[in-house]
Amino acid sequence: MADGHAESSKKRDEESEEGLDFSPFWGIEKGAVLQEARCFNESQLDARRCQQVITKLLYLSNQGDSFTKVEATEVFFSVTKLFQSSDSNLRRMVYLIIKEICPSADEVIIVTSSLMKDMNSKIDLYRSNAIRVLCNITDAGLLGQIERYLKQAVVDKNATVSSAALVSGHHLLQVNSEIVKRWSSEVQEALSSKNPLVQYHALGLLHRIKQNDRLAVSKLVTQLSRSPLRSSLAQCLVIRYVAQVIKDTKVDEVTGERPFFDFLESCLRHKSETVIFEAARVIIELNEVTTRELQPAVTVLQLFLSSSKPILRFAAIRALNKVAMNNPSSMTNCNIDMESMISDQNRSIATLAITTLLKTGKESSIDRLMKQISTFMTDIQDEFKVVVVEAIQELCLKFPHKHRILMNFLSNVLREEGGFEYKKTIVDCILCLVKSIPDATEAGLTHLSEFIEDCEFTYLSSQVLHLLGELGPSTADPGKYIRYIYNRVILENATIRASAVCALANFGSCSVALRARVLTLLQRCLYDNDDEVRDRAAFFLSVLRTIPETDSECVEDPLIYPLAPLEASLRQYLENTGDSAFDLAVINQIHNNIASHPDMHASAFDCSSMNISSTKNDLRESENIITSRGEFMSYGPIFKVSSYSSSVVNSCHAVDLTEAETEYKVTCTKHIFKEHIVFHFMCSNTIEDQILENVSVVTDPIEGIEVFAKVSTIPLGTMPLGQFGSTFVSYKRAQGLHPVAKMACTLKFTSKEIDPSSGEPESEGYEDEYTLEDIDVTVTDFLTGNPLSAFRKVWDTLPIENEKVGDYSLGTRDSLGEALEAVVGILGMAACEGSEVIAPHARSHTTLLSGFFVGGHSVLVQLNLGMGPSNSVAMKLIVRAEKPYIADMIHTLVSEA
Amino acid sequence: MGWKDFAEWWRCLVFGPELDLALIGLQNAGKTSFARVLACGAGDDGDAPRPTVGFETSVVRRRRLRLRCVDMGGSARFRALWERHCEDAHVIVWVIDSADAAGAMEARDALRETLASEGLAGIPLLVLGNKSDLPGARGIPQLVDALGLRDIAGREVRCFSISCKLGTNVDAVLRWLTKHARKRRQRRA
Ligand SMILES: Nc1nc2c(ncn2[C@@H]2O[C@H](COP(=O)(O)OP(=O)(O)OP(=O)(O)O)[C@@H](O)[C@H]2O)c(=O)[nH]1
Ligand SMILES: [Mg+2]
Repeated sequence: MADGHAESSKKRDEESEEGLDFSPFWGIEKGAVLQEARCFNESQLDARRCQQVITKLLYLSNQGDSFTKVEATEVFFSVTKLFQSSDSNLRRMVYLIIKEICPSADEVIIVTSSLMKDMNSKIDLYRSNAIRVLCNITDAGLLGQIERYLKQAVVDKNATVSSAALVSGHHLLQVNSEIVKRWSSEVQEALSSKNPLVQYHALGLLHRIKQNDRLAVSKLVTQLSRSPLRSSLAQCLVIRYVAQVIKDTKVDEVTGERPFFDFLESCLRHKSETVIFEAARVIIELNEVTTRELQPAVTVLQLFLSSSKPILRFAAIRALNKVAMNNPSSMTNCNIDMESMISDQNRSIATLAITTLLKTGKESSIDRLMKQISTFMTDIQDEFKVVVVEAIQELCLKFPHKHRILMNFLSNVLREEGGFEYKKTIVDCILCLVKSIPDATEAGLTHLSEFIEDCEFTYLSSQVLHLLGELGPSTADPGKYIRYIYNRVILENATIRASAVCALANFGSCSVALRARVLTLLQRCLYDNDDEVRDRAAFFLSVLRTIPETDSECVEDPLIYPLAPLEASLRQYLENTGDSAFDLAVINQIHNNIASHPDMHASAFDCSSMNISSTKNDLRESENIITSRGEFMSYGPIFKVSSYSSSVVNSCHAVDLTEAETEYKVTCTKHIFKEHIVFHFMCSNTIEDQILENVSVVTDPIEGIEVFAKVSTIPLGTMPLGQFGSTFVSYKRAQGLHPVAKMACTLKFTSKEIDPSSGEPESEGYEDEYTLEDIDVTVTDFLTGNPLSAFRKVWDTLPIENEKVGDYSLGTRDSLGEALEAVVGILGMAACEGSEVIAPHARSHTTLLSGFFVGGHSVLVQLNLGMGPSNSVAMKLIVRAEKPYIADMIHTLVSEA
Repeated sequence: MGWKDFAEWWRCLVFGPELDLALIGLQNAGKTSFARVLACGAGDDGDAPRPTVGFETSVVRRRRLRLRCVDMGGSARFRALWERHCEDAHVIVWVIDSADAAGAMEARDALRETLASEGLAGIPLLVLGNKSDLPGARGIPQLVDALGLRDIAGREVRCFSISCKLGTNVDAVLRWLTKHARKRRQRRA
């Protein structure tokens, strides 16, 4: 170890000595350079020396050396003095270092005037650089001052100046997009510049300025696609923009023509290879591209395959590889070219060639191909090998007849050296083949059994052992795997041993013939020094012994219990320090319950002491309970079920009225009927040694007293322990009103303690009460979604006089989808005609919402969303309803949310 | 004579005398205007200068004289920079708006504070009472009193009343600067 270290450091020394010859920066050190930087302060500046020092500072900074704030400030202030020198090379370094050390905003401001002067200088070099630095350090206030100059600079006759202004425009879009947008005519002018670089930068900026306006982009692209640009990079941009436009527009249904396809095809004949490639790439990636469309692109890529430039060969083969995934048949002509590329010096190219061939190859060519690959595999790196193996897996699934040769190949590579990722890919590949090609199962299992004999990766060994246990027993000769598996028990670490025990047990349970052997082997495992291994062995021994001798049945997965209830019951078991053993039957019982009443799922576990979050099912369950009770029959059908709180937007949960850790748990659900409202309280007792009887909730309207008249209260006999019981309060509403109300709630009950000695409840209880949280009744409770298939028709029938329009700002949102969800959540209305689906990249969207108030007033909403700069979302809400006050109500809902 | 001094002397011989000026003074005093007058003469075109953010350097050739000016921003946030840039100057030029009576106290304090720093000891001070064209502009005696120039010791002090707008007296200032530059050269030689 120590030797190795010494050796490696010696090696490093040698390397560093070599480095000395090449790097002028060898051995420079921050402290020393900062000392040298004092030369900036000398009264007679030595421009050359200063340049060198700045170069060193830049080097340090680029190497990851960071300057402390004090150091940076000192360097910065000294550097500012260098503006006194008129040496233009030095000035250039000054610009660079200012950008690099980038001191805090209040310091960097002191170079502003100097930069502004340089920006108006006659020297082009000063102008372009000053623009770049200035835009880098500028804030919104300063931007206003320099905007005029920047705008001019965009059309400067010097290309570097113009380019600098355009590139700065890109950066400034983030600071203040409005200002940059005002430059569009200058940028448009720069687009026709003779200088390719200016053209490229101008196009990029112009597109960004317009990108939110789909029509403008489409116009720009149409115009640009008519005449090719001088800059090939700009031309590539055009191609990309075209691709975007194509994606956003539909194929002409009559002719089946894709817009702009002619343009793309013409770009395939461009003189620049970059442009040709870009066009080919875009064509390949078109949605549902047809073979006819692909053909010209594949042809040019095929030409590239035999290019002398590695980069072209790489680009082409990579693109063709993509084609091979979906349209292998369209590139059969390339196969010969690709086969010759297997011996390409560049390994990346060779690997891509192989994997592409594997995708396009015919069954007949597989043998030849595999031979070539075998020789090739030894001299590529793991990451390439992974790609090859994955391709082989696909191939094998395509041509299952060839499994023998492919499986052989895999087992060979499995035996060779390789890292975890690579080995895992091979194992996964074999697993996949074993499972999907029955003929390959035995061979695959044998290869894997051999593999684990000498496998350094615990994870893979365990995985293979599991598979052996799963599939081995049903093979023709299961006995042969036992030896492999038991060897692991003797030789391996505890994790693998534990896996091996499970695998063995599977053989024992499925095969009567092997059971005796397995029992003996498991018996030996009882002396293992690892707890887990011993536990598993003991468990399986006892299970296996219960199976009648002549039966074969697979050991059931011990985890047949759903995890959540298992966890809940275990927790409860641990909390009640009972002496009795944990009874799995409890879970089974619960589990069966769930199976027969899927709706009970959530409630059954909510009542455990844990707070497993309730689900939508709460509401449905509550609804079921209400409809199954005779008392509410006369109220008619339920209009809407909701939880009480308006702050929990569109909540599907019943709302907890008690804090999490009280002795009782009460949740409330509201049921709105045509004229009635029923509050359904679900109560559960969480304390074992008390009994709560004659339970009811007393509700007291604090707001909205006038419109509510209490009809009845239905108490609950006893509050069950660990289960919910129901109590109800019902009100009648004054006709036609959708009142907002608040109810104060008190839980009343008689409490009886259980005598610990007898286990019987006391005969006399005492009255008690408990204040619950208030319940809110809101407008949304009376509004429900009402999906319409012909929104427009209904919209037009509603009186336009009642239309109410409002504009809202929704703040910044990640996407329009998120904003829409929030609004719909508040309103609880239904989206119509699929208008809730927002196109990708959309910056604006209209959704049609329809809702229905209890008592039969429908209300329709057109909701326009627009995303502005920096993702701020604005919303326009156009509401129509039969009654104007209803339309107003919707606006109130939104504005108050 | 060190190598640096020698180099300077040699350049003076070849290129004529040169002088480094540091222009300081309260904001709106007319420093930038003065630098422009030096460069292009008075009554020149263009828009009024914007308040200087930080500083600006310029090189001016007037007859045989080469002037390098550092024009500093006068607002309080930039005053910390003054010392740094004045250290190398051959002459500190203090510009004051002679029509601004309200700022006189502030100007005196700022001047005193600046001159007190060690690095600036001995550097000659040229005080320019600018905007003499404005009504209410104070004359030289009042300025000398207001700024307490008589109390300044250990350096040469000179005061002119000028107008950058009209170019009044700018030539006199230039003559003084030329003379001063020659004197410096002779002292070196
Ligand atoms: N009437 C008159 N106005 C002048 C004269 N000189 C300068 N000004 C005006 O005074 C204002 C300030 O001039 P600047 O040269 O920007 O002043 P400054 O000292 O550089 O100011 P800061 O850079 O903020 O420190 C401008 O509006 C000038 O037009 C002058 O001789 N007469
Ligand atoms: Mg100024």
